[in-house]
Amino acid sequence: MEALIEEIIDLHVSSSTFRQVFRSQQTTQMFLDAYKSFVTATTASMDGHQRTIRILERLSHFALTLAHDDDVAVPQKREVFSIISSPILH
Amino acid sequence: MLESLISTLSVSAYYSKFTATLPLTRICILLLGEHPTPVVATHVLHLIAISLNASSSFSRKFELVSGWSILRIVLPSTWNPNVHEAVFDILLGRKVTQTSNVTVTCPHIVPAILSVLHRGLDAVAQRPQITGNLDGEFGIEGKRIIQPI
Repeated sequence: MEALIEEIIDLHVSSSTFRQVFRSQQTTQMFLDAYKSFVTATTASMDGHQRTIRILERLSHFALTLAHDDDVAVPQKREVFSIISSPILH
Repeated sequence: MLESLISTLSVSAYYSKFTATLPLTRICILLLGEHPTPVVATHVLHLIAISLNASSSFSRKFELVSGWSILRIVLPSTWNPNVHEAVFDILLGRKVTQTSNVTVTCPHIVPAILSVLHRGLDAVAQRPQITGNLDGEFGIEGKRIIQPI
C-alpha cells in the first residue's frame, strides 16, 4: 500500500491532469472515504505500529494537499480538516 | 497462451481483424472473471491498454459493458506490483505509446485505483504488524514469507 500511496502523491505533484481528476467530487470522496475509514479503524484499535503511523502520515499529507487544491469542493476540504483533527493524529 | 494472444493483438492489423468480428470489451470481462489471479489481471490490463491506444471508442464501449466498474470490484483482491504497474500504464498511456510522461490519458481507471487503496488500507488496519500485500504474500515485518497459493 505504501508504494501505491507514494505513487498517488508523486503523480499529484507532477501531473496537472492527475490533479484535474480530483475535480470530480465523486473521485475525491472515494479517497476521503478510504482515509476516514483508516483513521477510524486505527483510532479504535489504538494502533501504534510504525507502519500505521507512517501510512497515516502519508495519507494526511495527501489529504492536506487536496484540501489546499482550488479544484476541490469546500465541503470536502472541511471534511479533510475534520478527519485530520481526530484524536489519533495527535 | 493469453500472453501470445495479447502480443498478437498488439499488432494493429491483427487487432482490427479481431475486433471486427469479436466483442473485445466483453472478452476482457470474460477473461477477468470474478477472481482473476494477478497474472491474468495483468494480461487483461495490457490488453485494455493496447485497445485504448488502438481505438478512441474503446473507453466508451468498455464503460457501456460496465468494464470500469468491474475493474473497481475485481482489482482490490488481485493486486501486486505487476498489476500496479499495468494499472498506471493505462492511467498514463505509457508503454504502448513508449512515453514516460505523466499525463493522464485514461481517468476512468482512477476509481479502481482508489478502491484498491481503500481495501488495502482496511487490510492494514486489521493486521498492521504484517507487511501484507494484497496478493497474499505476507510476512512479519523484516521477514517475507510467501503464502502458498
